[in-house]
Amino acid sequence: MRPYRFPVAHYHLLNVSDPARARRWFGGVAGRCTTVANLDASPSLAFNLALSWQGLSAIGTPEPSLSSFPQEFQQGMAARADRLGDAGDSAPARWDAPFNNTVHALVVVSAMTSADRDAASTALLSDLRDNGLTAAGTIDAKLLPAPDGRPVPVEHFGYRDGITQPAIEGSGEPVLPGAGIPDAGGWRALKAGEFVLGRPDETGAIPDLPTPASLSANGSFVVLRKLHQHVWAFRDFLKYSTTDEADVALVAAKMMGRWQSGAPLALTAEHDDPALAGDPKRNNDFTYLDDLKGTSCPIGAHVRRLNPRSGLTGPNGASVHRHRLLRQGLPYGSRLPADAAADDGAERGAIMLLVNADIARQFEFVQKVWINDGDFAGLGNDKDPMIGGNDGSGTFTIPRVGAPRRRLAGLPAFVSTRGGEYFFLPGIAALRSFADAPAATAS
Amino acid sequence: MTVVLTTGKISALTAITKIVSGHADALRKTLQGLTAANGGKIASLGTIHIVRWVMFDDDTRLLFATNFDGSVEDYMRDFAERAPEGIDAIWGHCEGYPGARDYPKLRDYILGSAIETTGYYCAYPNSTVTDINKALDWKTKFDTFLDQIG
Repeated sequence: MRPYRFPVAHYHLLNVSDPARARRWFGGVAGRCTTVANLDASPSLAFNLALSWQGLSAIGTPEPSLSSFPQEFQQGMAARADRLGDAGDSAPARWDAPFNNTVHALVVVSAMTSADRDAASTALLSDLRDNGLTAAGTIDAKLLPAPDGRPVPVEHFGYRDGITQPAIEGSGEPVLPGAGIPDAGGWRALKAGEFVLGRPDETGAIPDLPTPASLSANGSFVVLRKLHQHVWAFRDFLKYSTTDEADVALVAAKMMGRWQSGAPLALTAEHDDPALAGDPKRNNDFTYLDDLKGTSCPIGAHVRRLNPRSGLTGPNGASVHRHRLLRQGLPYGSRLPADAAADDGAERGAIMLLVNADIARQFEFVQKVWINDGDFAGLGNDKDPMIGGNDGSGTFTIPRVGAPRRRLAGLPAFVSTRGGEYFFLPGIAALRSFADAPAATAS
Repeated sequence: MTVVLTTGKISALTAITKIVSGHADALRKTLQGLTAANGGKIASLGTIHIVRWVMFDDDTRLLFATNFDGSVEDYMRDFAERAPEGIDAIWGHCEGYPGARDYPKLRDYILGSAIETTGYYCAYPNSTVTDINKALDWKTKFDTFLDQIG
């Protein structure tokens, strides 16, 4: 397993209308799905298929197998809203279609160009009806353009995205400094079992698999989150919480944990450093071990919460490596112009795909404890200042050297959940086997 | 999980398990040793306010009663990963114990043997173990500061 990044994608959400035909089609698309082997050939197009628990049920997966999947996957994301902090404006009752209803399958079409992607999507959608599937919705996502029109890996708030990915054993990629787990000799990759079912994980053991192993082995779980970004509210908050332009840049960087270029506060606390940000050997090479008080990068900063590295004092530091996620994010909607004088009310945000072997231990833990709770790091009621479920009364603490800590108050939510679901990403062999085991004989 | 009663940030959990016949003495020794060692690895969890074990019914049953911060699921899992031998050393003397290395089975065992907390009061429902330790630390430092300027 290996993360990859394309500048444009379609996220197609599908429902099953004819189980036998759908199984046959799923089996047939196995040959088109992107594997690590394909990635080495630098393809111009990638294709991935994943099924929700309702989807596995809809194609006639036998009951003993369905009930062997983890409880949170069976329930689906909407039913887990309390745990995830999806309340108020983020509550499932307010989610966008098709997430306000049952969704059976996710097909991600990723490409280097919009033309390639659109052609592949058109072919896919015209193929559906004869194959027992209906299209429930498509999300159009692509990198945002820089001022010169070139696509750049920058999210709607204006920050460089996608720098940190956990290094995984056996992925065939070198371990960049900062990508795995801090280790006596520098950095080591995480065990594959943290992301792939049926492999040893960080405990050294292979956890129990959903049955049969022929279905689950080499599979994984993909969490899809559609996150609306309140860009105007973010800029407005910065304006009334700061003193001048330089202070805006500093406070925003403190909230994010990185400067706009992506340069980490852990390495450059006073000012942005685009050269550092552009160097993959340096831009992630830190542990927070020399910044336990958070005077360079606040303990509650967004990127530090999502990956505390060695920066958690006390007992919670011991299990950081058990809560890692493989993240792939792509923006949807158009950029709010830098000189916008008011909120345009447009839909914009990010589609996040988070890959992990154990949704409860990895994604849900990060969402509940690291993002929406402060107590794991002695931060009291502070939530993640960027994506936490703040309600207008949130706080964010900025420790300083030689001066009392600065505390921002009145934080609203800068991100609202607009949909999402838990999907199972079958291995290629399992996908192929769908065609061999028609629902009628399997159930 | 109705067996966990929460007030503010603090929750109560009470569970009763059966002691394996002939294991009472070994269990008593383990629990007394734990007390003598100030809880051993329990402090390293950082979220347990108080935990109490009581052997009763002629040493045939074990009562486990605890007050802790946060979600029982999240922290029990971490503790099981960090100190499985400590959990084994206690409930290994009880009937039906699945071992601490299979987290879902351990959770089902502890929560399955839990009983309803009917009444509950906490004097500081919104203060975590971390908050309290930090406040005590500050008080000590503030007293030292006052001593120095006085």
